[in-house]
Amino acid sequence: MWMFLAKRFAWMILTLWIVFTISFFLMRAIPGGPLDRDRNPPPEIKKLIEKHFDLDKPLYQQYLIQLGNVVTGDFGPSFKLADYTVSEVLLEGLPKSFALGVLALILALALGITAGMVSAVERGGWLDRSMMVLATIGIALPNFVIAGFMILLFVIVFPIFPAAGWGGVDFLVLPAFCLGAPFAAYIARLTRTGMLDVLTQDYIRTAQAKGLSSFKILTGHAMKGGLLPVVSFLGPGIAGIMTGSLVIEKIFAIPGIGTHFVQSALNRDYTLSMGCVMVFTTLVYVMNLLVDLAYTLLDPRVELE
Amino acid sequence: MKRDRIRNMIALGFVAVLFVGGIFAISGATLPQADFSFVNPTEIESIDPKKVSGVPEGRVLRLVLEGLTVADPKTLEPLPGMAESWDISEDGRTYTFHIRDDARWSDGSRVTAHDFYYSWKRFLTPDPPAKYSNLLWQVVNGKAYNTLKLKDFSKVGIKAPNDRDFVVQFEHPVAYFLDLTSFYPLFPVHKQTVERHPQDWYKPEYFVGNGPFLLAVRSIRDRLRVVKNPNYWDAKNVKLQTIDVLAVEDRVTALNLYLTGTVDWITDIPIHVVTDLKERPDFQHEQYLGNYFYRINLENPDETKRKFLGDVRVRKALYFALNRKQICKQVTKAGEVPARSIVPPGLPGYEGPKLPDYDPKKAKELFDAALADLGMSKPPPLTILYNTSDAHRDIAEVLQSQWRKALGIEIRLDNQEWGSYMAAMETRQYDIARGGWIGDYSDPNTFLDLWRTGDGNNHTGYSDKEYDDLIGAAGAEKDPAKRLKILAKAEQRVLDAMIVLPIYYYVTKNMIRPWVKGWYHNNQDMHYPKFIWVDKHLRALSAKD
Repeated sequence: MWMFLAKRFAWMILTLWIVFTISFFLMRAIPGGPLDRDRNPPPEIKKLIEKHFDLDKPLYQQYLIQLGNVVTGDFGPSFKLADYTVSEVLLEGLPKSFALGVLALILALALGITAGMVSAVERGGWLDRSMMVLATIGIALPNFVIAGFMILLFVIVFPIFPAAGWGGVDFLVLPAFCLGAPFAAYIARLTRTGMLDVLTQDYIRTAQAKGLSSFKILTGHAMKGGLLPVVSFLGPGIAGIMTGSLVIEKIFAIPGIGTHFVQSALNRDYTLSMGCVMVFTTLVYVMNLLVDLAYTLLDPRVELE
Repeated sequence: MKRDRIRNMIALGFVAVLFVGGIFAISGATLPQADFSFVNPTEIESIDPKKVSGVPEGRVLRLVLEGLTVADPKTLEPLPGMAESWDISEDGRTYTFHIRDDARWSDGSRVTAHDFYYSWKRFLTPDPPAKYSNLLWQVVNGKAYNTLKLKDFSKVGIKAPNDRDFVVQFEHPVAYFLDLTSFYPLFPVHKQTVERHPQDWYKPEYFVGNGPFLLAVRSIRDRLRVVKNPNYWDAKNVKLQTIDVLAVEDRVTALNLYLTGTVDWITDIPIHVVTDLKERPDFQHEQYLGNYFYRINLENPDETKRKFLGDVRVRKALYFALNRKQICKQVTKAGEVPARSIVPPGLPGYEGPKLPDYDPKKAKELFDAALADLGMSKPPPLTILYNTSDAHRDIAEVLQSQWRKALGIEIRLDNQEWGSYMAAMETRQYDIARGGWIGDYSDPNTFLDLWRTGDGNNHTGYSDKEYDDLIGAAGAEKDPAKRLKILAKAEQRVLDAMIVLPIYYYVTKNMIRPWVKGWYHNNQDMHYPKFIWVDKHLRALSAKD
């Protein structure tokens, strides 16, 4: 077990280094630089500013400087948000993205599992069909389209929720729903399939023969096995929710790191975009590791190797 | 058995994380609504006057800091700010500002001439220099000090002989200097705080300002809240207690916030709803000191294109073939005026030249003559470069079809996001590129000096000694009327060269609620929150409807 973790950790460092290198050279390969704004300062001034930020040095030197900074955990100051260091920006944004992600996940699980179970029990009925149609629509529609409908409906026509911004929980309901909806749809389908598999098994028939109520059979016996596909989906699902928030954060003006990710690349904010890339890489890697660990515990046949 | 227990623990742990995370997510508190809120279309770069260069930063800086003068909210004439009065020497080269006795920093200490001396010295010090530092290049030795050619600041024409007097000496008279003294890069900073907390002085915990408001909350890409500063010299005339500045990138989101009453003012709108919004009385669209144009590259790396676009008749033909009225009427639709000059109208005392109007017949004549002389049977295909935006694309499409129809040029559209677009212009990797310029101050010079040889914003490769000399001569001219005449001559010259194809003059696109008072339209779309107040009665009434 410890051996396994140590190995995975070593792989993570290697992965981070490769991702760092690719991102560094990609960022520098695209035209433009962090100092390009509407107005250019006179060339003399621009040169002095570039010198200050080491942008005049050869590329390999810049690479080594930034690599050194990242290794020590210091990403340096942001170019565009000049009053902050990259770490400050990320620390302020991460909890907000996390809050949005958790709510979206809770909504996705609650809606998805309920809908999937109902569908499985009512198989072939109108409830099943309408839910699966909804689920298909949910998977097919990108979240920004859902967001447009939701805003029109619950902000403009029926003013129940605020249009955008950050504040209390009412600010998070719509974005979390829009972010979670495609995942809820996916989970609903997975649950339905899993449950249908389980419900035809012999031990369920035995439970029915014992005279248990159908609710007890569902929650006590069928759910455990029926939800296995959902669990294995959680790893990529969580990573998806996190990266999916880029668009949602922009539409709902949520100050999480998704917006920073996009804007820093557009602004050629070399330091901030590198910080975002590193954080996202680490997150996705850790999520996958956790899922791998969970597998071995759920399925006795999987060995940690 | 053991495995089962661990499995349950993991499931439990997962639920616990979700639960705690959920509680955390819904525990965020909402700040009470501010007296007045508005949307700034992007997160500001900084509140350090030395680091800023954009309009969004100006909106925030005017809240928490104040320069020597402020601009009249209607006419933009200089009004007393930190300086209660000023004297200008006979030769127009020396300005002496008298700092008011009751000028205070928010910590209660006095604002003195030495504060301005410190701040302007800091502004010019190349460690690195401010992006806007050429604002003070016309000060005696300002440029030399700023570009490391002079080490001794005492030789620079910025002096504070006592607490009250702040003296600025110029190489030449600078006619628009009293516009610059209210311009945000030249605002002062609080010396003690900057020196004690060099990394943190702009955070709300430390920030000391001299403006009408104090920095209270600053949350990245969310909001910046300011509260009234009781130590401000004119505090009795400041009516708002709290102001929220929301950083919202998406224009549709900003409009939603406005329509649902979260904010009272947005500074821009999504282009596709112009027609609907134009019907509303709270959509404010009026003359704005800005020009939308296309640049023509004279240093094209492709030799055929360079020869082709290097012929002034071709450039003129491109201009005459453009029906700019159609663009204003069918594309931009917010009341923009077709442009026939580089300097927009509305600058007091300036009578600039005007180009003739749309003339497709003349365009064709010029074009055919040029083609014949160049020995070309048909024009080379050209590319229009623009930065990604629906509005720019729509306009570029009209140009494409008009030029194809009138002159038979094959046009390709090339949209790039901002950084790549800027890089392409700087390295002259384009044929024709969309551009725009918003005036920094109320003077034709702000629209003309960028076409000088080698200017960082020229981007066309246009280099004309006579033009450079005219701009230089205008800078040295003492008589204001004569100076404007020289500038008009310069504008005529750059228009004749036709390196810029004017399309239209900008209009402002504000949405502002009727209960916001003391907010006036002006030529630079510049608004001082110290003059703004909210008619709460009117607001309450409209909330009831």
